Amino acid sequence: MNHFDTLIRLLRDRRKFLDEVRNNEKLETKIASLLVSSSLFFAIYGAIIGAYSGFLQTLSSAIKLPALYLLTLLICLPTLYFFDILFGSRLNFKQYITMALTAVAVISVLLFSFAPVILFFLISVKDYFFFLLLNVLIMAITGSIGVRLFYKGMRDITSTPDIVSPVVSQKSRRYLLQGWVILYGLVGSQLGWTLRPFLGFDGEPFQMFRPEIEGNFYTQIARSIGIFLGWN
Amino acid sequence: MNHFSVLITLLRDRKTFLEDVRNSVKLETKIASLLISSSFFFAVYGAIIGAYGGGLQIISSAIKLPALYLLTLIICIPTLYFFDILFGSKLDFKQYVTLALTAVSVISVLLFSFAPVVLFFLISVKGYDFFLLLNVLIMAITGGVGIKLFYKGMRDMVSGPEAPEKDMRKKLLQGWVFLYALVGSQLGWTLRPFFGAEGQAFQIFRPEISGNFYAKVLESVATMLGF
Amino acid sequence: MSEETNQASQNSSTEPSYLRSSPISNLDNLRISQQEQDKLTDLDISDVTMGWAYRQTAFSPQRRLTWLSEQLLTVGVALIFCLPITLLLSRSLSGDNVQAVWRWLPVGGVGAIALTTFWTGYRWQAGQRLIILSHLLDEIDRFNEMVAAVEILEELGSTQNSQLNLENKEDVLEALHLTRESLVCGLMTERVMRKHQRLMARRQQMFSNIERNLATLQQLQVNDAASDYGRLLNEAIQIGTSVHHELSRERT
Repeated sequence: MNHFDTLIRLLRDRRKFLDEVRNNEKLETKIASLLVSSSLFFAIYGAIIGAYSGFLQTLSSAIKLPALYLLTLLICLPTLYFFDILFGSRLNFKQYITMALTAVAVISVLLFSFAPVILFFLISVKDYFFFLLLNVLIMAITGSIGVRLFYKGMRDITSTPDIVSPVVSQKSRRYLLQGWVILYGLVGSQLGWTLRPFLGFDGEPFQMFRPEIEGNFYTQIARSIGIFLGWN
Repeated sequence: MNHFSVLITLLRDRKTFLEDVRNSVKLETKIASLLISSSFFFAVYGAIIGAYGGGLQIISSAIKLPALYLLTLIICIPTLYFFDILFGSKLDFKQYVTLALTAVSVISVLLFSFAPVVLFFLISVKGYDFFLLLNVLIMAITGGVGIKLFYKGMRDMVSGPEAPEKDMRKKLLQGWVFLYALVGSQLGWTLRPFFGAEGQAFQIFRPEISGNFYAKVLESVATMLGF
Repeated sequence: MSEETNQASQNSSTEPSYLRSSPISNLDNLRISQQEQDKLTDLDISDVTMGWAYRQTAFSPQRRLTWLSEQLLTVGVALIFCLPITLLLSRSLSGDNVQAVWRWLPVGGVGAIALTTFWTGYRWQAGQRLIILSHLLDEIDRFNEMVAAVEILEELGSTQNSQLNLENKEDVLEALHLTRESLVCGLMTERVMRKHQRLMARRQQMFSNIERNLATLQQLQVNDAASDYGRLLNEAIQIGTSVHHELSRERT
């Protein structure tokens, strides 16, 4: 398939890929291919983790997991774009989309590469919390690698003076990028919280969403930490 | 569409834009365009935060939010102008207006860029305090960036060799930014509500004037963390 | 080589190497590569698309299956965006009512299909606006195929050491060169017309260039129309004519 060619080229020779993005070469093809292939990989991984608790959950997770990553991107991208051009970047919106999709595509491939491992544990160990923790661990690892590469890619691509106007210090741009990555993480975690369940409990009927939740991810975390530290 | 292209030039190439302002090139067009486009962006953002209350609150906030920023500007700009010419500035009033509008437009674009994020949280999180704090945070960030750029722009503008009393004017500018923030937060407090509390009838204004902005923010933080 | 050709090759920056080396050389630099097409049109050109816009080739019968599978993929991606958004919205609007969310979910599916239809419609519409470019690109594909055919003939000729129409080959190479130049000129003219409608002068010059190339092409004598080389020569003239035709249609 044509679409995977682009992804493979990205994985094999990132430097050349970034050069092409910088020079505005074949961006439409890249965007379409990265979107399709990363959706597919996420969907496969989602289907595997959904398989923990039945067919409907498989289907639902296969849609939810790609949505989690891609919707977060859609939500956060305008912020990055406007802040970045304000801080002197000369890239256009398509280039930003491509760069962001690059990160997501890398994450999707890495997740996909864990699929056999997950599948093995899914078959051999039937324990909800173990499976949950395993998934959180895998997502944390793949996510941080993907974000690291994105971060480096952005720094490389904007390190040439014709892309960034030299008046703006590289330091403030670095802070900006870090801030954005944090925003992405925050929005992503809340979206994940809203879209739950991805795994579904054993032996319980299928739920499209967990209706009971009240409040949000962050207060939940704060409360958990509070309980953990012995407050309340 | 023409109005937005002025704004895009400002974003993409601030240096040229400031150069134009310094040389008084097409100031009227600039002022008109910045005014219209920033009002538009503020209105969009206002409508989104008003959607929390729903119905009439959307329209009310879409008008109030641009008013908040632009009125504060009108209130504060004479102070800046007169103090600054007193300390030897050679700029004219139009240039001051353009520069101040530049800052406000930057803030409006940045707020607009957060619109999807706010919209998402509006849909997925139902909590008055959370939403309030989120918006305060976003406005603080965007306001901070906008003011910083304005400050830098003003400094570049007066950094010519013939600028007298540089130190004094720097302090003046800092004082003015502080004044702007004070006036803005109080005006925002008077113009409340922007969100409208859940399950209450629409209010154009909150009748009680008691309390102030900072106390409310602290209270929200406390409520959210469960104290 | 005639004087005309030399003069023409000065206009284009890519002077083919066959003018300098022996006629039996690789014809790779005659081919109009994908990168070159991208650069000349300032768009992302693939087999079936120009930028986001569809080329006419996208709807050809032998690509119908590819097109359909592409549509399916698009629906899939649209579903990934639409269904969760519907879930979020309906949750928020109905206050976490499970029945209401199930009832709203088909709306997401319909939304996805609508989105796909809209997107396809947009791409088709954009393709209609670039119809002349699309035709030119088709001609380029034909030209590239021709170059490949000449290459094969040369290879065959060199292995069988037969005297296969050698007297005609010079003509064919020249024809190919002229055709290439016309195509490149055509693409550039199209781009100039697309980007800045007002740059008439440059456009006129390129147009006259194409006309001159076509005239030279037609002067090349087709001695043996039945031979392979003769057939290619004919095809080159056809391509030249259609480039001329397309551009004159745009000019009016």
